[in-house]
This record gives sequence, structure tokens and C-alpha cells, in this order.
Amino acid sequence: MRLLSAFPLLENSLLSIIFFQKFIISSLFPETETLPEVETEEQDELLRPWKVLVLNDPVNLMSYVVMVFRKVFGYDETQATHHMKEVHELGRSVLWIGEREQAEGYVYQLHRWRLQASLEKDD
Amino acid sequence: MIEFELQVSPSFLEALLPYLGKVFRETSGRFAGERFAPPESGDEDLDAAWREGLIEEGRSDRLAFSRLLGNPKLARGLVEIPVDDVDDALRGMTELRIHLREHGLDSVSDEDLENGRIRIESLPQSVRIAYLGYILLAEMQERLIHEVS
Repeated sequence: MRLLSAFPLLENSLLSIIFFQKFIISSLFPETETLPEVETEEQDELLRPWKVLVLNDPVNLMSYVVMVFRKVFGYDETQATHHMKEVHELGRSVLWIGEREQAEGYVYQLHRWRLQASLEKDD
Repeated sequence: MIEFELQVSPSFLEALLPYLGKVFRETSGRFAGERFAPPESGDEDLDAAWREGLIEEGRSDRLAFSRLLGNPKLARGLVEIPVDDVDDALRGMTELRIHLREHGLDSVSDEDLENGRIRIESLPQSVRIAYLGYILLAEMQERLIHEVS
């Protein structure tokens, strides 16, 4: 420090470089900021993939289930029918995998259509 | 407006529609919120919002279905429904079918119900009318889905 103080110009330029480097690093890698441990665990939980599952039920018509899958997930007839058959024959089907928040949105919409749906971690 | 005719005799409808109306009025307007639990989140506010959201949105489903059921043309087998009401009415019908399955038809196995291998004449009167109502709703749903797709 004493050395740098002796050379104010050098000190200023070195500090500028350090500041600039920090700025670049924090801009490029914002997640490198230190967060409390609990917060990062929660974030990890939210970011890890989740599966949207639909379970078989004895009430809903096949045509109804296909229609709902098309409306909720935007699937075409073939994809929606494939998932409907999977639900019917295997008892469940994974309709979507992705971030928790969006997965929750899908489950809500499926519940709105009175289908049995749930979330499961994608291990 | 969507219109189609059910291939059902008027005497059949005369017996069934009042029954369906009665059962529908007995069902809880909170059905969806009470039945469909949110994914486990540990967040009480989210859980409450989930359930209340389903109950609130379920109201429009029930309203659309009650409009359909209350249309006098239905007694003659004519289904008449605004396009905007179709999704809501379909959900309302599903709700009533689930209720019938779990109450009026609880003595019938899933397998028999799914395969339609049921001898109607062998069913007790109360189960018979629940079964016929269940079938009628399925027919209406099937036709509606066909009309809008």
C-alpha cells in the first residue's frame, strides 16, 4: 500500500483495473454473489426440474382428457392421445418437465379441469 | 352458438333432468378447491390462494352448466350453448360426473363402469338413475367436444 501511495498514478490505474474486473465478473456471473445458504437451497429447489404428472381416474372421458392436454400444453392430437393412453394404460403419464413455478401453473390448470395431477421431483 | 340434438327419448330426459338438477344443487360450490390439493410447498398463502382460486373459478363452471341444464329446449333433447360457455360447462359436467361416481354409483366397480358392462335392469332404482344421468352427461360432453374440435 505504501508503495502504491508513493505512485498515485499507478495506484489509480491499478484500482481502476481491479474495479473493472469486479464489475465484469459480477455482470457475467451474477450468481457468484454470496447469498445466505438457505436462500440458495431454496433457489436450487426451484430451479431443479419437476415433473407434471397426470393420474388415471375412472370418470373422465378419453376425448375430454385429450382435449384438456391440447388446451393446457398446446400438444397436437397425436401427442395428446399418446399421453392419454399412457395415463389410461399405465395409471400415470409425465406431461411436462421443467422449472417448479411453471410446473405448478400446469398442475393448477389441470386441477381446474378436474384432472388428478401432481408434481414430482425429476431425479 | 352451438346447437345439436341428443339421441335420447323425451321421456328419458323428463325423468333424468330434474334428477340431475337436484343432485347438482346438492353438490358443494367448493368442490374443486376442497378436492384438488396444491403441490406441497410449505407456503400457507400459496395453498390458500390455490384452493380459493379453484373455488372462485369453479363458480363460472357451475353457472355455465346450470344455464345449460335450465334451458327449456334441453327437455326436448336440444343442446344450445354459447361458444364462450363450452369450457366452463364441460368442467361443470365433469364435476357432477365425479359426484355421481362417488355417491350414486359407489357400489359399481370402475371396470364395469369403464367397459359399460352393466345390466341396467339389475341395478337398484337409485343406482340406475345415477348411472343413466352419468351416461347422459358423458354423451353431452362427447358431443360438445366433437362440436368444438
